Amino acid sequence: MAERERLHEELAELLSLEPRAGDPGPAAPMEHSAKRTLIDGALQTWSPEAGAGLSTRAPAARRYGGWLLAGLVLCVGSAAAFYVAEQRAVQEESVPPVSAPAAVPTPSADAREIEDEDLQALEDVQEAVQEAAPAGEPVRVERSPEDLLARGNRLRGEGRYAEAERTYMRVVRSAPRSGSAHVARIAAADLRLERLDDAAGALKLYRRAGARPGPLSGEARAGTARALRTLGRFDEEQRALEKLLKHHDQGPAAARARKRLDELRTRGR
Amino acid sequence: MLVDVAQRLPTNLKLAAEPDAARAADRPAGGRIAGNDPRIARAVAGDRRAASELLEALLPRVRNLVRFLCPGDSDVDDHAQAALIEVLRGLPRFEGRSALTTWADRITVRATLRRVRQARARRAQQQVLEEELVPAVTAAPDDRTMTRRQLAQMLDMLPEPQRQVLVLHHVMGMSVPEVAEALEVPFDTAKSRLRLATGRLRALYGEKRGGEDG
Repeated sequence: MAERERLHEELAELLSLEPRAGDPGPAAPMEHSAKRTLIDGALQTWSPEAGAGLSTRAPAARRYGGWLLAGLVLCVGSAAAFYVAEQRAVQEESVPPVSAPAAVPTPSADAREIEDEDLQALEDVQEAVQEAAPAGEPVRVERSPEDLLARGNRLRGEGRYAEAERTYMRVVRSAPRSGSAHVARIAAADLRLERLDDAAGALKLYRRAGARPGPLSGEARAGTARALRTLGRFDEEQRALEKLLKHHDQGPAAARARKRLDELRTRGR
Repeated sequence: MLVDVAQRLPTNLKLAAEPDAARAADRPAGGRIAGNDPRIARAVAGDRRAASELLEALLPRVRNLVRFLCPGDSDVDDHAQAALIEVLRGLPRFEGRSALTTWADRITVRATLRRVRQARARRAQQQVLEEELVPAVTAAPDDRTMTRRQLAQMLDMLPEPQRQVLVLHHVMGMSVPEVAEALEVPFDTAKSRLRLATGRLRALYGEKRGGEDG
């Protein structure tokens, strides 16, 4: 019984996240450069503005703001229609003409506040209109690459992969040399390869991303190899994996690359 | 709803249906980031350096938690980075009522379990194991002190559902009802998995210790 309790205690001691002398924890040791890469990658998807507004769900005021605004518009519209109908009735019933003042109702402070809160929603609508009717009068919607990147991440998180990919590509088009575009290229390539059944399109993006040295070049090279594998271009895949290992011989991607290279060499595939 | 685990880390492997508040008694304070750490406010205000420092401080813990939750090493860094991104995004909503590390643990668990579920669904859909697990590095222990890395390799031998229940209960300190809620399984299922996982791990650990002793 004492032995059993001792085992319990030893196991409980080990099943902990707290620091222990001489035991860094269950995860494999990580080199400093790999840590930096991982953290920089996380930071690249973040920006102060995005951080402040990156709630995956819009604030309640914004969520309900649209409905309130719609209600307000309906109320004002109804009142205006009622007013016009009344005036017509008055005109029909009485002779004296009405010099309609047609005073435009001034929005109340509440209405203005609702409008402010709903600006983001209106922007979204404008953007959808612009995308749906490109031949029509263009609606100018300015968004920073960081905003777009965050929006792409949100769409991807919601499983709206095609929209996410389009959004990432807008980042690439809007600021092709920026760090955000670099991240967006790889994110779009991942979606093309894993979700949108477009390995050839993914390969183009991975190669373009891989041409630029930076913290995500390993990701780009690994992606290139995966896309080539999907396309059945195994010789090229092998060269891509060798190139990956030449530049990145540490970490999980390197381990996967070695394993796959062994397969390719032993099975001829 | 997940719990404030900083208050309840396990000191034994007894199957507990309800949280044991006394568990926290002598938990070491190292590695903890307080809820009022000034870097949090600076990061929320847009200070990239503060954000970077926070991530750097959280990273080892996040990686360790992910490794406890997932078999093999191959996906640990991807999952850890995804969790850190969620931590960054959620920072403006962090109210500082618990330690930042506690809050980040909860986010890490949620993010990792979600990604594991998605990966499983994807594999099932494609019927192809594109990314096979990299075999765990099984460095033979050269002394009698088992490390947590060796324990994680032992956890790799458990079925995934059992492993998740065990880690949520024993590492995160969740009660069985909380584990059931987090994993979206019935209470009895969670309890049964926990019993099986605990028994299996105990047996594996005993075997290992016995082997070393012999």
